Amino acid sequence: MNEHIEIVAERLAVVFAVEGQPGHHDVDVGSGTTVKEFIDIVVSKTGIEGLLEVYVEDAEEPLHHDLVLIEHLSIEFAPLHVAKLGKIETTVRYQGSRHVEREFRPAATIDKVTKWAVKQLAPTEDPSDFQLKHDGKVLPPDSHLGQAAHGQKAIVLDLVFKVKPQG
Amino acid sequence: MKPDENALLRDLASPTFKVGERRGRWAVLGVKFPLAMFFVAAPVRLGGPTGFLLRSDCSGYPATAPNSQLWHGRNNQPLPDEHRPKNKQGATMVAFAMWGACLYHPIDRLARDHWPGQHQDLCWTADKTIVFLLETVHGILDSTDYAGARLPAEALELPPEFVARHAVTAA
Repeated sequence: MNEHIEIVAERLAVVFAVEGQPGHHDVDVGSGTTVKEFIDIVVSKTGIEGLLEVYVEDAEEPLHHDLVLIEHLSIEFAPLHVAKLGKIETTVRYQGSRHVEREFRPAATIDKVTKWAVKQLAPTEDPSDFQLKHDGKVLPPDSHLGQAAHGQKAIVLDLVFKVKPQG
Repeated sequence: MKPDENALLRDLASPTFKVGERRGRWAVLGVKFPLAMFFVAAPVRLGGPTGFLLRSDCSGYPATAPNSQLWHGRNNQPLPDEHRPKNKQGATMVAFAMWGACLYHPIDRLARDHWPGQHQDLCWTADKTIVFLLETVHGILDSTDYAGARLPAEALELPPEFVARHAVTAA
């Protein structure tokens, strides 16, 4: 590497979601900030409590607490997710009588869960024509499952067609 | 600055809004309050555009629902019907029909009374943010019902009043 053109980022804005909370947050972290230090920042910023893990969006495994955070961020934009330990038992109901179950990490996007559910329950359909609801509310596809579960480790969702109001 | 303008600018600067921008779902192109001009991305269709301009009147935000229309940038007018998103039958998608100066959808301030007592989860409420509007419009386009549109490139040009405000908004 040519050291004359090397650029070292001193601070980096990191976008993250927190289990049980809607919306996203952002915070600047240093080039040497560890995952453990990032968790401490998140706790002070959001008030989340408990033994916490940090995931890259849609990742299957959490980041080890001793790792340097920015060395493990995705090249593609992918918000982090901070959650208590454990997977979320997810039940997706469809057309009243059918359902499927699977555990997901809290960092799973609703889009990922939707595509899985459509493949299981309506394999001939296009996932873009469906959405997931929780307690009657549509879940944004870019949000994380852990945000919808209100801090619980189990959730029941309904797979429905996107509503198209007609005249 | 009035509370509604302050609230809109706050939400446009929020991490949640920026997540949609970073994912390429939408972008704010400028604000001349109470008007805001957005770009909403459309899924790839043969000969179709990358997306559409959406002009939203956000007076009374967030207590009052925005009133939005697809927009022709160079002409600085509502997008003509022939350029609006079409369904698989070749007709204009219902939500973007030329029903009035609004989206024909319960989320819109002017149209919501057209479905009394229905589609409550699609309606604007005071606890919503501008992200809800953009998620809704993007979600309508992001379906197999959307077949494309014949949108001239100039329709995506930014009207002058928004160009002047762009630097302020982006800061």
